[in-house]
Amino acid sequence: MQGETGPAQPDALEQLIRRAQDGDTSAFGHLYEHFYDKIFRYVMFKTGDRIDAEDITTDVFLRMLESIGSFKFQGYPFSSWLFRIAHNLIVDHFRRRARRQTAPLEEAMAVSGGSSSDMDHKIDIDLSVAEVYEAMDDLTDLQREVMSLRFAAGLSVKETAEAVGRNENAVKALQHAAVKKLRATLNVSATGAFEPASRRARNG
Amino acid sequence: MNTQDEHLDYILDRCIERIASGESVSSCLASYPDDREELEPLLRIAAVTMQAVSAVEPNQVAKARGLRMLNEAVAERTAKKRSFFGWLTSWRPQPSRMLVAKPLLAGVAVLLVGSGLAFGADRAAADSVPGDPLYWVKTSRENISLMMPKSDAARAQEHARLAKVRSDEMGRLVRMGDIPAAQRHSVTISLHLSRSAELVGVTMSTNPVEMPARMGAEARDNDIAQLKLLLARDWQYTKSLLEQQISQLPLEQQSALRETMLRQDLNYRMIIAMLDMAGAPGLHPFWITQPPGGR
Repeated sequence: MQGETGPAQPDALEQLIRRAQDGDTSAFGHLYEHFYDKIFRYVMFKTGDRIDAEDITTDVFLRMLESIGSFKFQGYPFSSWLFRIAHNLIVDHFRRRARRQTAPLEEAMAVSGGSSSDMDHKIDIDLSVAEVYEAMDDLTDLQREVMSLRFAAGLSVKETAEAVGRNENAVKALQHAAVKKLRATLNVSATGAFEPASRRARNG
Repeated sequence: MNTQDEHLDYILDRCIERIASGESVSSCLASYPDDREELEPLLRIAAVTMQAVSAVEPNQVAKARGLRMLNEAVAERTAKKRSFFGWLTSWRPQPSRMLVAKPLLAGVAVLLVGSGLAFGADRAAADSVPGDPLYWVKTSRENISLMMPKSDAARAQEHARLAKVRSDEMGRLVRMGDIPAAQRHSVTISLHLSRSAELVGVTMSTNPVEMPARMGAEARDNDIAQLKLLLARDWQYTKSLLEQQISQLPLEQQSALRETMLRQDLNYRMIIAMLDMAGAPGLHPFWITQPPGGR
């Protein structure tokens, strides 16, 4: 949630963007490195499908290449601009085809080469991911957008506010309401352990 | 909205920021004892959601493939914009016209290269590095050379050779002390390497259904073996040269460059391993997350 104060400091990032606008080819590679994971998580969070998320994320950067010349430094963060592109591409994607209802489960997880002894733990995490995604469906569009930008993309409140066209207080209120709603759906114990519905059912 | 709600919006946000940067829920609750009862369940949910979201890791192969597509798009754009021969490189004749087009193109290329030689620009450009005024002469010549009629296997070797040329340029940039440029330049090496592999029928893909690895029409075991040999030899040579140059740099520059070199090492190893797997029955998508030797 460090926003643009992450690995590349704002000045360095601005310099990188200006270099890309001037046609410095390597700058695009650096921007890709800097933003890829955040954009991917955001798209993944919204589409729930790994393959779609990978395709859309690639398209976001190709679109960035086409229109970076039009980006102006006028107090509007670059990340908000980039996530706006991602948002539009996701909307296009859903317009083109009906949303897949399949839970992400194993697709949602990276193939991290875990051993078989980790399998139970992995299944639990997979289910947690799936249930969190499912719980997100109960949120309003704007609440889900705020949660995706804040939690999945790691944008700051300011960047999120710019991206959704609201002020910072409104974003904080939306975030609060969304977490409250998730609380009603997800079962988290007092110790913070998350018990997926399937395990609750198994345990009776 | 009342003041209490606003207060909770604020402290919840503060705590979410703190948890995201590694603090525990308890330490955050300790900062707001009066709001503990209301805040705790919300923070637990926020922490679980963050944990679930961060468990989704991007697939590194898909990420690399996306970067390659971006680099190709950037290179195409740059070629159109800057290259004197932009119109030539972007021109794609219809297959039906290729019989006439190829010899014509070769003739134009020979003429242009000949003119370059006559003016001595070619010689001066040969040692140029990115940023030099004559660098475009060098890259334009390479583009023309790649467009000359030749088999896919020969084209693959040409890309492997160009990867070596780019590595040499990277070495020259290091000697000149321009470390950021050297690091940036490593992207072009990867581009040539993956194009080289593609030309002998090896495609980097995580989805074998969508994009199965396939043998190119003219790819032969012999072509693949030659390419492997070329890549292994080139990288050994370049690696030892770069290692020597890196050891002479100040410490803070050494680590940055070593990381770039490790990435290139991984790149070469991946391509060579992919070539090993090419044509093998039941070929699986390629998957290596770090060089076998480690750091």
